Amino acid sequence: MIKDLLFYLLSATAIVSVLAMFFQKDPVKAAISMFVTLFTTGLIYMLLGLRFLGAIQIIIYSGAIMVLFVVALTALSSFPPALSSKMDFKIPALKNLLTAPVPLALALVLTALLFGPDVQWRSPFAVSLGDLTRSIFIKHAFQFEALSLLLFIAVVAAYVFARRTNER
Amino acid sequence: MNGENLLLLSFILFSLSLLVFLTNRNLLIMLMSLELMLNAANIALVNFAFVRRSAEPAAWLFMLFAVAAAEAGIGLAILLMLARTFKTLRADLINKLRG
Repeated sequence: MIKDLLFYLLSATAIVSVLAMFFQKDPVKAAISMFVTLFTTGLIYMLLGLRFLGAIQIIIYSGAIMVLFVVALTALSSFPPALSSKMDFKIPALKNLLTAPVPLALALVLTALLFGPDVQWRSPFAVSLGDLTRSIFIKHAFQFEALSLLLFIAVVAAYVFARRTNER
Repeated sequence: MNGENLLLLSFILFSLSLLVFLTNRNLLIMLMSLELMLNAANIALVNFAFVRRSAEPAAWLFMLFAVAAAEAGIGLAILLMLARTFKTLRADLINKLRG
């Protein structure tokens, strides 16, 4: 029961934060909305029993990738324009209504997850870390290696793009 | 909480992210909405793990995280290059193939 309630609350938070991103004009605020969406998605994974993937989602997505976006924001802050939605919604009250519940809901959910007595972390469907690692490193070993190659190519490509821009 | 709810959440998040992508002219926010679309697709994959009670889709999800990281890295590098070449971040002002 409480898990269902948490699921709906987290889903509503994710949807509201994407909506807030739609109404935002400031890229920094949009990045914060994106962070909330990714973080609540990680919490949903944890709620479903995928605890490891939930942790990875929070660490990689809402941690590392968000840091990358923040670095890009600082690097690109000198370029105009700050931003712009094609549809210009000038309804500040609606915007406040959309953004205000986000931190509140997040704090509520975190409190319930950490201190709620009825919350059982291990659901019947929990995927154990052993099953996951066996699936990745034994059954899908080739795909995993191909993925490492992809990451290597991505690093080289990012370096090449940055170097060329420096030369101009 | 069942599979349909997860699919519905995935659909709503994907649609809203697509809406943000289509209505914005800022390249940075467009890239952010792309990330959110990939995140919505991940939720659909989690639904399959949930319904099938299997670790297989979870393994694919783990690999998709690496793909998302690579996408963000290359996307931001391209964005940086575009911004330095055209001196703007507005997608409608970047209209030349040879900068």
